Order: sequence, then structure tokens, then C-alpha cells
Amino acid sequence: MNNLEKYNTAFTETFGIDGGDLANLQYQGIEAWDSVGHMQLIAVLEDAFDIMFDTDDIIDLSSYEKGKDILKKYEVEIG
Amino acid sequence: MVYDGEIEGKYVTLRSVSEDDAEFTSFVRKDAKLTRYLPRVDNTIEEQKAWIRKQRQDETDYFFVATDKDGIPVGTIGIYNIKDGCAEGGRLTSMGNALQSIEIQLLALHFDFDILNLNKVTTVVFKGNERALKLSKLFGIEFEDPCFDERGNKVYNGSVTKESFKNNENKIKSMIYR
Repeated sequence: MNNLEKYNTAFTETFGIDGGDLANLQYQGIEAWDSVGHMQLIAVLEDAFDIMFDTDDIIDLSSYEKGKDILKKYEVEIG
Repeated sequence: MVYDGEIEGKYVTLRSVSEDDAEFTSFVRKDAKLTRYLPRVDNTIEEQKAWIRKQRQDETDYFFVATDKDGIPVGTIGIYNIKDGCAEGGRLTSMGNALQSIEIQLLALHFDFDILNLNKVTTVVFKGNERALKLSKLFGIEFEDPCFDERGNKVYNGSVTKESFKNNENKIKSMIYR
């Protein structure tokens, strides 16, 4: 599984959504991406990429697209 | 009732509501998104100030405004019907980020169990409010099967003991504090 697949799977499995719903996905944009869902997503991403997010990045990870930029800081390139 | 101190967290601070908060507390109780599953309160600012004055005198009721680290209000939470070591938690609204939202509930339960020394906190969640259910369960709140309240709303009645909260407290702290 490449990084993009791992990244997408983190969202689809955490929130129970299809890959087609990812493009414009934002925090609180769907019922499942609430505060608790957000922390579940953070845990899954940390596990998938063996990283630990800084607090500021946890807060800033406010959309599917934004998360890709944030992961670059941790030397994780999402295609 | 007024709690003289502040309940200080890393992301938010809880302080007792004052009349100066009438506009904010009135706004959040009228906001369609925030109150989708809460009883809508549609009063004027003066009526809200009167409600706050009364609330501050009620010895069975604490109502907090959560502010961010710049002092900007980002939510509310309350504990009321305090009697015989038990009380009901509610009035939770949050416009903050994920960490602030979770910490509001964490600080409130810390206040309930460690400062008020309550043994048990109950709560009512409207059926369909999956966000509140998820957040509540994170803190060890257990729910019964849904039933109808006195207004005919389908609701879940939940409760958490001090022991159950303490069993979950460190897990939540390790999740949001880094």
C-alpha cells in the first residue's frame, strides 16, 4: 500500500465513507468528523505513518487536502 | 451558583457565566447548527440577562462559559439539579476545535467529581445526536435504551460515576495533551 492509499484508508475507515467523498472533506463537514472522530483520525494517521503530530498540526488538520500538506512536515509525501 | 475560581485547561478555561455573557450565550442557544439537538432558547438579551441573574443565585446550578487562551468564548457547559451527590450535566455547546471541544467536557467532569465531589452525573442526549453520544461515551458515560421524555422527544438517558470517569480520564488526557 503506498502513502496515498494509506492516507485515504485512514479517512475512509475512520469515518465510514467512500473514497469518492474525500476530495472536499472538511472537519465537521460530515457527522463522523467531529471532535472525537478527529482524534481517532489523528491516532490512525500516526499509526499508519509512524509519526506523532504536534498539537498545532492536530488543530490545523482541518481538511483532507490540508492533511497532505501537514504530513510533508513529517517527511511523508502523499502523491 | 457562581464558582469563584476558573477551571484552567491547556486549550480552554471555564468560568462562571456573567451578565456580560448574555449576548454570547443567547447566540449559541439560537444557532441552528449548535442547537440542532438542544432545546432552542429564543429570548432577548435582556431576558437572557435575567435568566443568568437567576441562574447565578441557584445553588443547584453551575453554568460555565469556555474561553480560548485569548479569552474569546468558544462554548458553554453546565451542571444542574445538584442533589445528594448527583447532578445532571448538559448545555454543552462548542464552536472550538477538536481539542477545545474535548477539553470543555473533560474540565467540566473534573469540576463535577473533583471540586463538587459528586458521585454520579447523569445526562440526556436527543436521539440522532451521534456527536454528543460519541463524546459522552469517550468519558465513560453509559446510556440506556432510548425512551421518550416528558415533551415527547426520543432521548437517551446516560450516567457516569466518579470511578468510571477516573478510569477514562488518563486515556483522554494522553489523547489531547502532548
